[in-house]
Amino acid sequence: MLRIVAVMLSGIAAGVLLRHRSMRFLSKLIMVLVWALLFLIGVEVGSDPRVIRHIHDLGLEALLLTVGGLTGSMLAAWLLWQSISRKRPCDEE
Amino acid sequence: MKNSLIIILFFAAGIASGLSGLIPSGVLGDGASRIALCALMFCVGISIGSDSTVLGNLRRLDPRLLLLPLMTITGTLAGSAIVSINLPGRSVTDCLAVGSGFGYYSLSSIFINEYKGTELGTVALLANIMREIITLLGAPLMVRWFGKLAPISAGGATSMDTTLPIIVRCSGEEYVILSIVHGFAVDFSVPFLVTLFCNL
Repeated sequence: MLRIVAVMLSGIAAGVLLRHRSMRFLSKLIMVLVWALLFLIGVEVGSDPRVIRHIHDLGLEALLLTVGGLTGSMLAAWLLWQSISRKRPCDEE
Repeated sequence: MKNSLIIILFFAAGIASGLSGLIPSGVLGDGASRIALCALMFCVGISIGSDSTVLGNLRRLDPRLLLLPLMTITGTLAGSAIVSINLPGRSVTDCLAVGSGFGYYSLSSIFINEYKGTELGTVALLANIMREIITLLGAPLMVRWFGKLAPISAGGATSMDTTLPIIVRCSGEEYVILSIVHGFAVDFSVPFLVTLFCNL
């Protein structure tokens, strides 16, 4: 686990050093890696009968978690919005 | 939207070849996905490090708005924790790990798959794709019900790329920079929070 975070941090360091080079190919590379990894996950899921049998339950769980997370984050954003809009008149805008 | 569809297609193609036994899961095994994951994390790091626009834009924002990523993270985690009470089969940390994908479905599901197995990995993939799709479809209502910051929060880590156009259309031009900075900050927190909750 720590190794993966370390890999990312060294990537950030490399990115800072490479700041003036064109990095256009990078987003394509990331996309291809993501596709490959999701394909691999799919293979694992497909060959795991337990997951396949429960795919409906898993989808429902996912939906519940999404709705919960979305509602929570939007309420938090609303709180910040309220506290900022109330002080709008003295804003520099 | 197109990107999520492609992702789902690859995932579905993987499932199909797993089901048909075309590619036995042992052949590719842990090694291949671990190496690909490390390569991915390195590339993500480079793209974060080489992006010089974010720091410059930070200074032009109302400092109070910088709290928004924090609101998004705490709100999402609180919501996920509440849902976990109603999911008897899942522990709170499992649900928090899924929630801390913040819409960054590729990375979070890959991580969770690695640490917690395919079942929770699948939940994470579906949940975070749903988050993006719901934000894309529901942004106008979110602005009406919860104010102009709501679609940015809802977008989570995607507020800097895939959901940015719809956020700009619904909340207004003046929220472009906030939306990018927010996405960047939330994005950055994903690998840390997901690994944290997977290891608790």
